[in-house]
Amino acid sequence: MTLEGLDPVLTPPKRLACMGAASATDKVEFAFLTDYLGLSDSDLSKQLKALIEVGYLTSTKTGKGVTRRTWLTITDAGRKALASHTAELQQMIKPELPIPEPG
Amino acid sequence: MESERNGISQPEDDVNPQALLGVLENSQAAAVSESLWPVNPLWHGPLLALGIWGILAFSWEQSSPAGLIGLAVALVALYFTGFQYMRRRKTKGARPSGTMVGKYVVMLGFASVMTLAIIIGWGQTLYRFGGSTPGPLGIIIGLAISSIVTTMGISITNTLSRQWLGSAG
Repeated sequence: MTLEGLDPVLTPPKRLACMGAASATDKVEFAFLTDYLGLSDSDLSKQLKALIEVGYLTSTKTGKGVTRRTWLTITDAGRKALASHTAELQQMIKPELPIPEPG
Repeated sequence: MESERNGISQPEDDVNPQALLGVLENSQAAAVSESLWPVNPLWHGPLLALGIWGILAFSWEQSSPAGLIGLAVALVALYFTGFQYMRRRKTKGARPSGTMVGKYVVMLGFASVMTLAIIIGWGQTLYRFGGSTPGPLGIIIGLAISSIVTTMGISITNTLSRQWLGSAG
């Protein structure tokens, strides 16, 4: 199926899931995403780095030592990109209208 | 490397819109579920039972040292089961859908009924083992019953929250 119209940054399912979790809450902890997605820290970091670099997510750290936690927050640009990407996906699964037969 | 979990096993170069929308919806529901009803370790069961026991002990013997010890124990136990419960959340500020709010209310109702059942169980146990003042055996048996029931309840609600709140909708 064509990738035209889809945001290439959001096309990988792992990144889409990260954006979905972030969009449904004010902030998501890094550990939640590793648990939920079953990804290694390094794999998740790689996916998040791509999302942070394009400005879709921001990362903040809280606590020190063993209580240190990394939180991800979706930006306005990320929310708009996700909405547009989702709309495009929904458009792709809409059933095509039957072509009326002549006569 | 691909993960097999939560529908993200789809190859990254093969676009299946239906599957991708499913991935998105499930991740949103799971994040909201984590914020509303974080899954907790089962040791919260005995701690919660200890909290209920402490409050009951204080209500029986308010001015005695035993009652005050019970209150102190209850406060510590409830701190760990309440504040730690909230602190362990890995997502914050959920925006639940109407359906999820409904499910959450049902689960809260279930937890409330379970807590009430523990308190009633306590009353019946103490009544059976005699008198208004609970003996040591009554306290131990009651605490054990409370711990088992509460732990089972937490186990059930954890499973429900994973499968029910955590599913899209």
